[in-house]
Amino acid sequence: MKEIILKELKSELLTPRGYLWYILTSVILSILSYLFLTNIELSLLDQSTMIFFLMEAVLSLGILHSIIYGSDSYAGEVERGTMEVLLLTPIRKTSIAFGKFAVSVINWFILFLISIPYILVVGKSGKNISVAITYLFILGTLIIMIVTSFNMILSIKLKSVKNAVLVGMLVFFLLGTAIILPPSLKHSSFIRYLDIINPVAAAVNSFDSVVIDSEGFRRQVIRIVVILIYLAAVILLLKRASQRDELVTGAR
Amino acid sequence: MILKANKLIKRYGQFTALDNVSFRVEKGDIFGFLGPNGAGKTTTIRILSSVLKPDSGSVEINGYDASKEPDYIKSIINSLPELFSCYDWMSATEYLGLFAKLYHSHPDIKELLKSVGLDALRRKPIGTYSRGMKQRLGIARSLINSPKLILLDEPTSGLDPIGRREIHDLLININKTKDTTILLSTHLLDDVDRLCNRIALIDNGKIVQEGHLEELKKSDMQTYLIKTKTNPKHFLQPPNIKMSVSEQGYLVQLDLGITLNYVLSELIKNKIEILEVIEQKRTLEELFFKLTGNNRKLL
Repeated sequence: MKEIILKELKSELLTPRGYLWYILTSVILSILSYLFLTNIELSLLDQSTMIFFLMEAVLSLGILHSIIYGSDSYAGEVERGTMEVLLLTPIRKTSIAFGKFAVSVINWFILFLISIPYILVVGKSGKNISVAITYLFILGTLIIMIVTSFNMILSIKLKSVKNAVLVGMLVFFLLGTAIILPPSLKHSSFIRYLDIINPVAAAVNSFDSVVIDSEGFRRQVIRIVVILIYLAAVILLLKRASQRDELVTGAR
Repeated sequence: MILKANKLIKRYGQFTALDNVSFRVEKGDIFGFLGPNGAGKTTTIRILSSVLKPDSGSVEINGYDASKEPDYIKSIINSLPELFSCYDWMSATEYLGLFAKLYHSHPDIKELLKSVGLDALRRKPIGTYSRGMKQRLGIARSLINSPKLILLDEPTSGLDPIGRREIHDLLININKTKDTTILLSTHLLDDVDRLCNRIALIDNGKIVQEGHLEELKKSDMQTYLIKTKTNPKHFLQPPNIKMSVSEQGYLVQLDLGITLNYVLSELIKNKIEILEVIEQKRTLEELFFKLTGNNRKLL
């Protein structure tokens, strides 16, 4: 698995596709932070709300990257013709899967490290900064694991990067819809129910709870449990899909 | 014997890609797995290299059942897929280094690259290589674990004549110097004619012929050109003898069960003067067309 991780890391860090992503992330976070600190309307927000928005933005960027990386992980290698030679080696299929999975999490760690200075600058005189960073790290990592696993499964099943990204995006927007709804709609029982079973909403609501409302860990337990259930389910499904599915296409 | 495929069946939905495919490869062979496009060659290679599982049937390599010992099998064989590609951002040294680690082997990578003529380019990104160079790099990768058996799927497909000749020479060299058995899947008859000592011919997922190349060319309906002074048709009339007249003489085709001696003795008995008897050697192309159906076109 170590060899797969190193190969994927080199591909992510040393190729234009890899480092452009980090540059783009820095640019987006710079623009957002600049707006928070200089825009008259946005600068009227209290510091906790600014941190919360920044946390949402960092998590969204992480999810976006995980969708693309997860979707490309198998289907991309199959489409480029590099998967079959990996399958010829004695390395186990699960090692390939979890090697790629690990690199997506490492990517998230890099993105998280890039975001820390922005969070510190935007929320410099506010409260709950350390709590915000801790929750972003822990819940962000869990959500990234879920999204990566889910999109890797899509990648294995659909054997098409384009289709896996499309389905992944669709699911992401579906999950995001519950979060961006106006407060009046959020109070409906259907949306509240959807909110409870939605892992992304669970993470975002938890950010809101600890950063804006300064609520403690006990209020987050159910949300974390929901996220962990999803994580366990997708990891099991990923293991199963990577072992059972035939990962080659093309000529007979 | 190094490889035995036994009654392999593989279906994709309703389509039967392999239908009871059985053949064997002896140690030291360059075995040609010949067939038209879509015949089932790639599916067979993928099953032999444990990338695909057959619906039924078994594969035995070096005395081990491939379904029971896939890790061992993967460590003693290697394969070059038809639609393979390299990581273009890596150098040849990095690429082979990665696969050496995946196989837990310790080859002399510089020497390996030298053997395929890529030593001078070993630090350049693979993305800058030509197709022929990538193919040679693929062959170097398939030697990374010093395999007893290499499965090559259309290794010369898409190469120009010079590239093909280079691959041919390379494979002959590998077979002789490294004592490696080669199974070569191809639809290019020139590859088989130049390289292989034994072949299996597959069509529509079924093996239609297997054996030594020279014997297969000789077997079945044999053609002789028998030049005679007068027309012998009144004396040669069994249904399994076909005759035609050409500028050179009378062409006699013999079907199964009829020997040349019988025809000659008939001619002599009827006092037909024989001027010359020439064996018309069957070409591989003729054999291929005959066994796969004349309506098929070779690529």
